[in-house]
Amino acid sequence: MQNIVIGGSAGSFQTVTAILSSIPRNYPHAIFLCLHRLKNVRGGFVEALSLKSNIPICEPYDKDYVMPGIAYLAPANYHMYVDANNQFSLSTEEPINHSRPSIDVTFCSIAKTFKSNAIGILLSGANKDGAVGLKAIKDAGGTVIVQHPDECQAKTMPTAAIKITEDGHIMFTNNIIDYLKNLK
Amino acid sequence: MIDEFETIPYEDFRKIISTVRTLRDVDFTYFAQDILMHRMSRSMYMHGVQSPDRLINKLIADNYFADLFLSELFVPTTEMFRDASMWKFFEDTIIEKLKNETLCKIWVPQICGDDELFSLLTILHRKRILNRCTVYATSPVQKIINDTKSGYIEQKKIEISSANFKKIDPDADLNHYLTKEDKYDYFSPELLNNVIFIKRGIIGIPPPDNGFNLVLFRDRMLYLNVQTKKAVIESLAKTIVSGGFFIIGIRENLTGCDFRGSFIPVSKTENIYVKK
Repeated sequence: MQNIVIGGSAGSFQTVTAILSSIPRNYPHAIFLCLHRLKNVRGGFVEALSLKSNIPICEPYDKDYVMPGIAYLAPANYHMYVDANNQFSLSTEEPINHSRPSIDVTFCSIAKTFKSNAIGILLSGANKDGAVGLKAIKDAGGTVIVQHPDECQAKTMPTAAIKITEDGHIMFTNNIIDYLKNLK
Repeated sequence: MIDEFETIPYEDFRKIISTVRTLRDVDFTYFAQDILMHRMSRSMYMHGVQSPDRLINKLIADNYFADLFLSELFVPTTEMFRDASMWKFFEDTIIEKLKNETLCKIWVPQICGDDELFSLLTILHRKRILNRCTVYATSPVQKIINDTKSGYIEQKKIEISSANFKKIDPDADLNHYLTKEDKYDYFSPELLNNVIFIKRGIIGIPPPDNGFNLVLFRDRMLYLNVQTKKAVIESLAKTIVSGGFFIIGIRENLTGCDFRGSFIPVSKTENIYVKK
């Protein structure tokens, strides 16, 4: 099983829904979504993403186990880790890059736990959150993909990631979808 | 230079835990490992400590730093009235039941911050039952107890906490519960009149040991490992009287705990339980 972690902020919602509506049912991999969101709005996001998704989407509870074929959305106002036992670990630690959930936190955790079986994808966003985490995935032997800045509503996040990861894949949404659909 | 997300080698991680236990008698083997490791590397990064060995030397040589480091390993609460809908439910439903008690015993374990404690005290005061309550607040760290006792609240927290408070009641004004001293903001000392602070270990139960009408334990299990979570919950559950309430964080659950049958959810959304 591969472990695909997708991070994004401003302007990433449409790309995430395009990805979730394109991957097949019974997808054999786990997907982790760490998207910047309003911290005091608990409901609605899962429902909005689920409208077109081919796979179930849920916000994990602390210490839930990771299962393939599910997209896990980091809950509002919590950081999301995945530990060595394949269990979620949520935290109310301080915001990082003004964000909770922080993409760096989730990416670094996925890198540490899944190493070469981690795939990090960073989308449009207006701050630098995610760049350090994407580098951690690359350094751990995983695959890193950055959405092409020309396609992004907010370029700060992908530009920071391209700078720090140097030789990661830079792809448009369609190419990201093709890559994920063909992933063994 | 260590960075905030550095993975501390496991051997060093164990050595740091052992040093803290020896110096301050706090056992972090109970804790969720990944989060604890992040807390350590974050603290090292913030204080410019460049390696685990230097950290250990500094812990041994510098008492003030050891206290600071220890307090930073615990995760502070984020803001008052976090999950305002829970507090609204608490005020509208749970308080009404607690009002029936002649004397209400409440336990807030593992304080850190502590916005949860002051949210509770504010609601109890607002509903005019604070003077009939004894609130036990426990922590394994004396610095955390002292900081909480001071009643200090950061300016940046007041805005978000006030906004949350207004979600419970649009007319509510947090400033009624705050005083200003030398430009700093503090909670009114009267809120703490009925609070007993006790230094206790992670799973240490304070006197009177049982008979609690409410145990407020939100977002604290997040930082315990799976085995400890189970033990702690079962231990806490025994201290609650029949008809008493147990409140956990909205993303926490009681999966794997044997006593689940003895608790009935009062609100599944807000994770509030009542003991049979």
